[in-house]
Amino acid sequence: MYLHLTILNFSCLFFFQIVIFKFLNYKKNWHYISLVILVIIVYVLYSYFDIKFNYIELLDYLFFNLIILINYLIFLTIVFNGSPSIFYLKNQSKKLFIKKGFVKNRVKLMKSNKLISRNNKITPIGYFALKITNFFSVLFLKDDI
Amino acid sequence: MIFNFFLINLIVIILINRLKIKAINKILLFFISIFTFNLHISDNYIIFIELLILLLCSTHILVNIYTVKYSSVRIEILNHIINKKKYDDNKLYLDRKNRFKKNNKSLMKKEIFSFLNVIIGFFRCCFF
Repeated sequence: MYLHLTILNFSCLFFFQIVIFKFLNYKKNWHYISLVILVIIVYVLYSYFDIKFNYIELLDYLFFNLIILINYLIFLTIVFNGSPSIFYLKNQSKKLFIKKGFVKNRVKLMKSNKLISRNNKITPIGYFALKITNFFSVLFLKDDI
Repeated sequence: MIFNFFLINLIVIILINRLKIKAINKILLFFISIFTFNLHISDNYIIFIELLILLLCSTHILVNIYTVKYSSVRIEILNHIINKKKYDDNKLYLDRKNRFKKNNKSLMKKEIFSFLNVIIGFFRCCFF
């Protein structure tokens, strides 16, 4: 029921992402930009096609788009931030790996996200991140062996 | 329908997570059981594909919950700060080196990253 419209939403999002990230070369706050573009697309296409979902259908449709967006943004994190595992897979040189500075880069991001303070101490947000990570792992998927 | 199906996914994985088996087996068991359930409840192929997308999304979120706990660099840094140890690129390199050894039995296998690398290459080509 929502499939075609959702495919259209994400195709448009992908098109606008190419325009903004590649052609306009603007990659700051890429996750917020993606979210805002999708919200606009969902609203415009829903109005343009004059669709009449009832209240439950509308919530289901929005939830469906939201779940796909969350997954897409999680995936794009690897595209934009890079992954040490994939870097190692492509290039096993220790010198190049250390030169890439993954830890230094993450520490910088953690400071800007206020997970750690300027003098490398864990902030309350950092403790919360650790606790929530443990909680979700114990609840949904933990390694038992 | 969509929201209820997602809730069912969550309840099933919470139950499967109680079993004392490896994470990769939990994911497989979850995927097969929900896929079978999807085949059973879908009236037409459109609903089937919608629910399949939702199942793939749920699986992706669960795998991410796992990787954040066991592999995230940020979580490693936080744990090292708590234990008053230093985490640097050298430790990260050794960790990744061990990950791709043949005896690695965790969810994060070389084949998965090789597959991911192809998709990431496509997106980097489009966005960079």
